[in-house]
Amino acid sequence: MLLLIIKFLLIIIPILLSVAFLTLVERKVMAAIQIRRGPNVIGFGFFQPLADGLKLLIKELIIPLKGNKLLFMFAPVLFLAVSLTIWVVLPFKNVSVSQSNLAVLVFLAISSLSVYGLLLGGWASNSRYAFLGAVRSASQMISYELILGLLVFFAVISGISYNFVDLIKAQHSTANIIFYFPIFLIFLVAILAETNRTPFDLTEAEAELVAGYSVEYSSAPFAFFFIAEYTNLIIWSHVTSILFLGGWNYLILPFFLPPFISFVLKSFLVLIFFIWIRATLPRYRFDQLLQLAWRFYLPSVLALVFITIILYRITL
Amino acid sequence: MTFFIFLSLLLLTFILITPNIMHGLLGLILLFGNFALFLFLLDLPFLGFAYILVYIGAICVLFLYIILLLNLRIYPLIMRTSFYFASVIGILFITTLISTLFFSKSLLIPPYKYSIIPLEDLTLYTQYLFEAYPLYLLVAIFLLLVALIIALSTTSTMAYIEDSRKLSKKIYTSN
Repeated sequence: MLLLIIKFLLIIIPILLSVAFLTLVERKVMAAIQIRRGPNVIGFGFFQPLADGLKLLIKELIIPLKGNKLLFMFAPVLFLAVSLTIWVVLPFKNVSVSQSNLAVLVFLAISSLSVYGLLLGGWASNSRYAFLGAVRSASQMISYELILGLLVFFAVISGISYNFVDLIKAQHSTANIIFYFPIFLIFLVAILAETNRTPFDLTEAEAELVAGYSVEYSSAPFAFFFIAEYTNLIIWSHVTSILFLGGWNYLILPFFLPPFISFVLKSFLVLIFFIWIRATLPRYRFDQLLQLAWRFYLPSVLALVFITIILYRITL
Repeated sequence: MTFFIFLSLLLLTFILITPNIMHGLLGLILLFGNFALFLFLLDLPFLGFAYILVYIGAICVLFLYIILLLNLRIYPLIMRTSFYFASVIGILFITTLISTLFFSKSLLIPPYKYSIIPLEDLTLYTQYLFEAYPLYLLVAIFLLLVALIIALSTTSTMAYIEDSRKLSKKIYTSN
């Protein structure tokens, strides 16, 4: 029992720390792109996330009078819990909390539950802006979840396993990115839409919706939403490095690095890519986003899945 | 296993009885989760996780979405059906509820005991359903068809939605 708790803490504490410093990295990279200095006051900018977190926790918690109080407090907790639970099945160099043969399916099943947090949180705060943001985010996440689920199955087809460790071992000579490069690009776009990142951050479009589903939230619940969003981003970059970049195999990166470092470095490069996109691209319109999902990505990805399955059936 | 069957029937009655549609949806999510656990117990983990992914992750979200968008808070169906009809169905339901407690153990063969050859989850489960309980399967299919037709015929008139809006307005303004 104690060992299990230590195992969970060994995962949760580094995740929270990495979320904190991801925000710092994001601000620094965006500042560099926009030729600014970024955060540079508190410990030369290094302790800025800690100061921000402290500020958030000290703030007053305001609960809307006519909202549903129980759901209002429950939604951020659910969102954070779901995004932390996903780490149970993700491997770190042959080690994960639970070694499941159905890890990919468990991952997809748990990550599909995170919509509830947003939807209930937006509805319970009894505000038009929050509700519209929640509805938008829910429809966006559902449509792109479908595409992501299909795209994950490309790696599953070529690895012939539902276990993440097997999928990485299957890429010992060539990473999946080489075979599936166009699919990898669609995967990146779908991740951006799924995690509500910038070209698709229509849930938090400031000009239209103030701040989306988290308008009414302040203090710790807001911090929960914030941490969960960034955790989801880290999870998806981690999964990208597992499914397409070859995990801890030395494929793209130089040989002298230890395997775990190269694994983490790959996911970090994906994260930097997301931040780069945030600093450069303008926002999409909502109907364009959904048309992209349902009219272009879904039929093409479905056709590609069938073609890949048929090719594997013929060749194996 | 008996406990899970009992719980699922209990949740079903809760969904039918409750006037608050949000509670009904919560019951539905619990029912799906319950059935997923039931599948885990039957040694069909793949189907269990697929069930969570499809039903809780997608279909229930769509239900929730529609409920939130239409702002339906009160479910008027229970006030429209006649009391005698409802009581007959209720008595039938309760008798099945109690009978499962006593008879389900002898009824159920775990699917992994059913097939000698190791099969995939989906093949095993479908073969199990079609060969061990063909009659129950046919009844379930017929009930599903009836439910589809009823849903189509009731929602084709917008009167239900209008009524529910009026009702919820009445209740929420009186508080």
